[in-house]
Amino acid sequence: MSKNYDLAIIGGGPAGYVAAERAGHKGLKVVLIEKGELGGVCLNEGCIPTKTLLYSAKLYDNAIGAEKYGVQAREVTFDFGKMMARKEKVVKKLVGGVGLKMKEHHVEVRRKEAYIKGRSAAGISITAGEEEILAANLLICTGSEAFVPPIPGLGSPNETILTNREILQLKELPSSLVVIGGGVIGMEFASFFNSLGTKVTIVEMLDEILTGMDSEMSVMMRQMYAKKGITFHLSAKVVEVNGTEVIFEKEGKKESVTGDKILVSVGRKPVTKGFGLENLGVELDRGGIKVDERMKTNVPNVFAAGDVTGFSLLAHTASREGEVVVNNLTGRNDRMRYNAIPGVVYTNPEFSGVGLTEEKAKEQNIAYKCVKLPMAYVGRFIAENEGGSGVCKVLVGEKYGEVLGVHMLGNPSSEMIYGACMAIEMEMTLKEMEEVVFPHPTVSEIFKETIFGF
Amino acid sequence: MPKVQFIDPGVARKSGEIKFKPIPVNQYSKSIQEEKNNFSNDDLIRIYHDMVVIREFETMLNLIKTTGEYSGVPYDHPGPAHLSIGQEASAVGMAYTLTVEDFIFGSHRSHGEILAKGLSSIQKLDDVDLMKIMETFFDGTILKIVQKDFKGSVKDLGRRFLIYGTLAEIFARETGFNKGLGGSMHAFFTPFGVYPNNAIVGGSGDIAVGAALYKKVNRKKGVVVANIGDASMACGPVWEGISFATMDQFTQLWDDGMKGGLPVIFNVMNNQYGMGGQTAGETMGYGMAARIGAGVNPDQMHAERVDGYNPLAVIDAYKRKLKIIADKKGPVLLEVLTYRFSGHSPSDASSYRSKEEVEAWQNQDCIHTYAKNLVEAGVTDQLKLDGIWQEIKALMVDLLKVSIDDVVSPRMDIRKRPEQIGEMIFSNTPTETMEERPVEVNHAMAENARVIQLAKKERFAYDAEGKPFSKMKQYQLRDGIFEAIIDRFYKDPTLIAYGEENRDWGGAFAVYRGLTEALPYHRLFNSPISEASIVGTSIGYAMCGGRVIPEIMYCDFLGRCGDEVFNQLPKWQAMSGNVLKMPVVLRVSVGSKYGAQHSQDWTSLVAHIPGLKVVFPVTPYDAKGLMNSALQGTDPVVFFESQRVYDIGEQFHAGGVPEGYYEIPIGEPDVKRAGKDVTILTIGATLYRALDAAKILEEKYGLSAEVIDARSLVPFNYELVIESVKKTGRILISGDATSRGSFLNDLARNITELAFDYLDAPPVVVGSRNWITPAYELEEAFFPQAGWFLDAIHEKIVPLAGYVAGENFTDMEQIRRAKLGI
Ligand SMILES: Cc1cc2nc3c(=O)[nH]c(=O)nc-3n(C[C@H](O)[C@H](O)[C@H](O)COP(=O)(O)OP(=O)(O)OC[C@H]3O[C@@H](n4cnc5c(N)ncnc54)[C@H](O)[C@@H]3O)c2cc1C
Ligand SMILES: Cc1ncc(C[n+]2csc(CCOP(=O)(O)OP(=O)(O)O)c2C)c(N)n1
Ligand SMILES: [Mg+2]
Repeated sequence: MSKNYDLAIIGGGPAGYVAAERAGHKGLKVVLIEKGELGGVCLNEGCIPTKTLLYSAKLYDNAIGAEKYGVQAREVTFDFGKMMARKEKVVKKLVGGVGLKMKEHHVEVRRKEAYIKGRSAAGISITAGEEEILAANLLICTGSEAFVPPIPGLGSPNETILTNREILQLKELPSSLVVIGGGVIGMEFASFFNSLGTKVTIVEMLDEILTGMDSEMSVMMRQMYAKKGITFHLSAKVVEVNGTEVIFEKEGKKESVTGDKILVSVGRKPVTKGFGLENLGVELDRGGIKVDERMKTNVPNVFAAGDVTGFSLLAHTASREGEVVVNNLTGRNDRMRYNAIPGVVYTNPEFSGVGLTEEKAKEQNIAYKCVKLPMAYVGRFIAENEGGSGVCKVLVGEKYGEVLGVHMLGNPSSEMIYGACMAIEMEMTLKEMEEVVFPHPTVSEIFKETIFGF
Repeated sequence: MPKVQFIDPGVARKSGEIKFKPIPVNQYSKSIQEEKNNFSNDDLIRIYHDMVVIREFETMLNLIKTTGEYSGVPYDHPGPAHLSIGQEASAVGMAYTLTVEDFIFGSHRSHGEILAKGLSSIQKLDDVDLMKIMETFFDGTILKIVQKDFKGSVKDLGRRFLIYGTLAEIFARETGFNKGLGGSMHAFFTPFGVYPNNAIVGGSGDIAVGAALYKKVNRKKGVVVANIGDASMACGPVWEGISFATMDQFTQLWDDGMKGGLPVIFNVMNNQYGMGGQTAGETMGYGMAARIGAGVNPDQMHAERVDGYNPLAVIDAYKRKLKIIADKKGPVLLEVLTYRFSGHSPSDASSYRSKEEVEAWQNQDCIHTYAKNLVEAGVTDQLKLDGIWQEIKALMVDLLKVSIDDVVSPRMDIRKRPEQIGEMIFSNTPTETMEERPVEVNHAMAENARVIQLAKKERFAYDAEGKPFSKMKQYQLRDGIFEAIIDRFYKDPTLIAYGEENRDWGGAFAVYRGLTEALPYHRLFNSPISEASIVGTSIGYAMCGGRVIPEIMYCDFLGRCGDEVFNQLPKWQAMSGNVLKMPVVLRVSVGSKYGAQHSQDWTSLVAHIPGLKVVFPVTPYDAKGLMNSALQGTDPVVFFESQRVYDIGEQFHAGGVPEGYYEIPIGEPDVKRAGKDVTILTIGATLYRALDAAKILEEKYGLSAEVIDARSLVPFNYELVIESVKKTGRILISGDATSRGSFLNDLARNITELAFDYLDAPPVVVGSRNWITPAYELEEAFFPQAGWFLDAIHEKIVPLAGYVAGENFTDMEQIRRAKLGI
């Protein structure tokens, strides 16, 4: 017997579970189908485990550097196994929390693999394992998976070759690690292992790491990490992997580097196959599900949110997209906007940005003004970052002075950047920002100082 | 079709052969001496005079176009000038015998014909009548201009009037014959019997036939001459006009008094070229255009080729042909051989003909040869003739100066009266009858079987309990149209109706059932399968002052009368400077069950063309009321009917369809169901599917829909719709036309602009798919269905709880379809 739902959601990641929670809260009859663990990549093998580990690394870093602050911590050591075990505990706790939230909002959860059978006047029919489900609306949140490029010697993950999934399951600390791809995921893992003493080499095809972020700060970041001992190969195209050897082409010459382990972090690809998407005739665009501003697909009653759409690839984007779907389904006209989505690299120091970068503004011919200040401009930063450096950059529109982009390198920028998100989302101008009162002394004051620099 | 005609297989299957009579070619051979009994010296000199007027007029225009001046008077004329230098004898010969009651129609190259016919009419009018014409036309505006400082005879004043009126018209002056709205290719002056010239090659080929029909049906004096080019003989409308004009029924079926052929002469001005295409030898196969007559009817259209280089040969032919027409043996096909020295237009480099050829024809120039003959015959001397030419030249210089003087001959001051042209697009003059005289009918209306039957029908679809009466009992939409039409047939003696299967059969879809019995043949008849001539002749009929209902069986056949519907019917009221009216109600039936070429709603195509009123009623009450309005007016109305609802009863108008006469103003939409949450505006029979949708919306989703029936497309009053949108904030616009480029989008755009602040969502268009219309059984995938309204509301306006959409209205699908052009 099939059952009727207002909304069926496939995938329990940040897109799916947040949408389920919101829809349940608004009284829709919701079923959430997840074949793995609730929380998706983010909770199980992405954001949360990495941040947990990075925090351990940061504590270790701080303990080593504590002397500078007059604190003595002798014989600082770490236990890799315990770090990994704590990570597991954190993940479990959060995954359990998601389950509770589902209950609280009357979301029926099916821990089964979903398959879409088709669409008729009665609704969209899906199976969750054996069970037949009929729903008026369908939200697809099947997320993404690590992309392993077709390079000779680089098959599916094994002992040596790892993706984010495998590397989070390591039992022992590798003595050396080659990271293919210097994006956010690559840099975070590089940072973690570098802190723990692993010899890390990054091989990046483009001419800079962390492309898409403010390029000036990316350079600073690279230089900081080079000092900490990471080797960077830029404009280096991996052409072959031979056991533990990564062979790449750089300026026309072949070079190679070996590592105990090799992390492939060149990008992620949307999960669109194997669950009957073709039975609906959903249109794809560059591998992801094509959606409009309301996250509607080309098929009536069918929506998509999160990594499966193939562009933003961030957990908070995924959740917001899921919310847009629910809002529109429940009569609130809501359009997804991408101009105020923050991006954070949880390295040490953290690197955060939102809105336009200078590169993008130039590319789009947007007239802007820009002011940049060192973080050392504010007291709290000096107090807490002995010998550390950082920078804050603000872009505003030339004509109206509206905040277009804010970029920060330095701790704890991840906790501050939301202020800039609000400024952009609310279309605030310099004048309006000047009237906002910031707590003193905090590092966040750097934002206000920069604003007054115009 | 008629039962009185027995098609005897014995006769039809008998062997034999079709015999043709020889067609005369250039047989006139008289000298001036031999003609002296038929013409006075004055007549003969006048022929010369008239030819020179044309020659000088055209030479003046040619010089203005090519050198920017004439006799030292500079002027720039950016507009067209298709000149007829060389063809003067054919024009003057054609017009010489015609009376004021005889009408001519022409082409893009008709300056010469206007002048020739004008001069001929001036000659024949007595001074009092001529003065009256000049004094009353445009309240004497033109007369005042040409009268200033002039002291000559009334006839000379008339000639000034004619030349000035034509020239000012060519120069787009408000003081021209058509207020400058016709111009060189369309100029005309009906009081002299000069009817519209047509820039569409062959355009006069069917319109002139309609004028002849008017003369015949309304027992008016005179013949009609269609002056068309040799190249136009290839044009469909010319063939269709010829087919229409030669129908057997005129001589075999029409009532005794009416029996006989149409009084029309197809006068082929054969200058032996199209633009650059040589007809005989290159682009046609007839060798001589007169040959065509042989294939048309047993009379061979009395076809003949005459030498149009000799005015007397043409006059001779006309005397003989007018006799044929008078004997009711028309129509006639006359090929008048001539040659133009001037290019097709002044920019023509004559690259398609040799210098030797032009010179050879110039050596036999019709005017010089005729002048030589006059002198040789002792009619006059060269000095006198040269004097005439000099006088004409002086007259031209004088009138040119007046016609280009911006103070005396201004253009329309659009800045001062910005809507001046707009006001001419429609005449908007309610007119009960086009002429006061008794109507010709077969019996009193009360005796009509259909009328008697209708009296017993239920004029509202439901009984007191709200139960529908049986279809048989219900007064249907087709009855509403019938009632309005028969009523007008008994009021307006000029009203006629025709189309395919209109008589006996009862008209497609039984609208005319009962009319055959009520009306004599000449008021209701079957046309050939010839949509161009059905509409084209109606235009000619209306131009002359008659009211007419042509019918196109299926909307899809509109393409077959494209030029007539798009270029002729809508334009002549304004192009005439409001001299003409166009009381034509073109009935067009929109099909639904017969696939791709019998099911299209082309209201949008028609609504696109300025100058047509467009209505599409789908209830008996609206159909009768709108038909009454259409028939009371003097504007062309394209009256769309839907085959889906011919049998529908009246479901809306309380009290049912009134028995008496009433009008529904064209352009007023009507609320068919009141509501407050969403507005649905429909065109045509889609209304009933929208009402079904409204019911579902109410019952299942608690949304109350207000359904508005557009009823008219042009004109259209937005006020009612805006009021509705103010209340609902949401609107769907629907009709059965394929969506792309449809009038639905026009409505959507205007509503967006006019009610933007009140709209919660953009207006949504629910039209048909941009496909071919599939078979009836698949139509649900093509035409808007009740469910589509819910789909569109759900997807584009407000989500309906738990609703699963059927038809795909997602933005992405919209983009995808547009990308593919489907
Ligand atoms: C190492 C790493 C670190 C990251 N760190 C951050 C970070 O710090 N901040 C941040 O914003 N983003 C981060 N991300 C990105 C973030 O994890 C993703 O953007 C986010 O998880 C996307 O959420 P989602 O709901 O779209 O899909 P996912 O989280 O990928 O969830 C998809 C879910 O769908 C399920 N599924 C798929 N197919 C089926 C099926 N047929 N039936 C049933 N279930 C199915 C899967 O099992 C999975 O649980 C990180 C990613 C990685 C890999
Ligand atoms: C329907 C249409 N097709 C083409 C033209 C362009 N055109 C104008 S005049 C002309 C030649 C017409 O030749 P003919 O009918 O012999 O008249 P003529 O110009 O010789 O007087 C053409 C092709 C037009 N005006 N209308
Ligand atoms: Mg010609």
